[in-house]
Amino acid sequence: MNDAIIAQGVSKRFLLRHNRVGELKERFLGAFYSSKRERVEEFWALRNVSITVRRGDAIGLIGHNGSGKSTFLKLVAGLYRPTSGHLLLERRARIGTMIELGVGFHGELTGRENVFLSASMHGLTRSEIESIFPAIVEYSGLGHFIDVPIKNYSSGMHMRLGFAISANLHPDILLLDEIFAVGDADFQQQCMRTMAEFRRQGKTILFVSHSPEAVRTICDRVVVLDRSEVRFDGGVEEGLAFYSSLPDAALA
Amino acid sequence: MHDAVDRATERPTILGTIGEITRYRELLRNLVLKDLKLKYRGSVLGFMWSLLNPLIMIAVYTVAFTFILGSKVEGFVFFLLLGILPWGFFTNATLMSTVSIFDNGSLMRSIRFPLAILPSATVLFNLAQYLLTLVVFLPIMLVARSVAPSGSMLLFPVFLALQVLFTLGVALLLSAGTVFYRDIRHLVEIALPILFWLTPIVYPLVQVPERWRSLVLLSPLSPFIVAYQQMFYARQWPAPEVWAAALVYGVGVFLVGITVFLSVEDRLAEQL
Repeated sequence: MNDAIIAQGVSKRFLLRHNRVGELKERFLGAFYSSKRERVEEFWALRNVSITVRRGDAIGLIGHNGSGKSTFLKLVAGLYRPTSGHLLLERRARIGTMIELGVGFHGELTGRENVFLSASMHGLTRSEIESIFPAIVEYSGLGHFIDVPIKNYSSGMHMRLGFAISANLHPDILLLDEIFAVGDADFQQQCMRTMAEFRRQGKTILFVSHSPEAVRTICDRVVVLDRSEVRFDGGVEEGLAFYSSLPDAALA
Repeated sequence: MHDAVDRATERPTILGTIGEITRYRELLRNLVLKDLKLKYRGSVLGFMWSLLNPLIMIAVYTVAFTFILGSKVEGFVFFLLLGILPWGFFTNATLMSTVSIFDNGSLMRSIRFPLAILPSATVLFNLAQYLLTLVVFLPIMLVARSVAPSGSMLLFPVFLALQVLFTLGVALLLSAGTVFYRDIRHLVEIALPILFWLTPIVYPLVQVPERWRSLVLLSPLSPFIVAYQQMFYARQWPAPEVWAAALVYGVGVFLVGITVFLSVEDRLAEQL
């Protein structure tokens, strides 16, 4: 009864549209000229994926580019819908997504205004945001820059603010998509400390990464995805070894 | 796992979505505030622009209709104002809503929230602007023309609410539709001016030949605008056929809009 996420035979198909018909004119022409006709190619980003994540698990999802890691995160986050299979989560669980930092920020607005906008996108009420606001400012290290329009921020400051918001949302399940690959050593260390803190609090973590060190630090279990399928599910060291033994996706 | 949700089968319902949007009201508020701030911050005249725009329109139409075409409408400026302000609200909201989903692709692929919030925020932002201009112009006109208060004016919030529902329905349809067909924006740009002349804004409904009158009343914005004219200009209770058309358009189009929107909602993020 302690499962946080249960994926049973989950598959996800994308339709890749060549000659994408976005205009009625093209659709009309397509009726007469086959070269103008839309060609739809199926692409299975995930095939028959079954993973059971227990509460408090910290799972590293690794695999080559295009293996389906990010798609799996997006299915769990509820951004895309599985084509088939079942993907069960507790209805009450708060899901924190760190898929892209600072998305939805507006350059003309100040850091403070962006914090309120961004946190409310994650479903927080005003009083909830007000109560975590001081922690966000402190975490971001922005000080009085918090009242400056963020178009004047460096990309590092931008990222710190984005991460500071996500880190203070207190989710039960945390979905991370390789966000500390960017950023300086300081920032990466801060991220790692936060992740360690989340682990101590017993939060469930799904972490997509290419970095063996980051996976070793954060995770206690590894799932390897290769060409849309789960190829390995087990210990961290074995998983990393299995991953490095895989033929390069580009050559396969 | 008890009380689980299955990502493969969860389907949004109209009531569920309305509940979700209430839960996300802080986001709705912040999106409206963001648009208001972005519009006025850094401009010298700021909010004056929102007053200047209808003023210029009113000046142009008044010259054209009273001096050139010799319109016999008494108090033409007041009459025009009652139609042109709510018309501006509808036009601005629909045009803006065509891209309210389209322009937010990366947001929708990283954070989950009820997507219907985006076109709703667009409508509310334009509603806020409309009400701010109305609060300035309406009292001036009422005093200038020494219009005595009338019970019919109390119906304003009812017809305003119906117009907002109607506009929301249209905005939901257009915002989702543009994701699949980019043409929609161009179609809307052509349709709006046609609709303008089919709506009794610069001419009163009674001037329309009798056999065309009910047709003009069926033009989607007519029942709302005729109602505003009847309650403030003629100081009469809105006629039954005006009530009926406003109710059908307001509630009907909203229900169609939200139903269609929710049926494609899960494809919007992937399609962009």
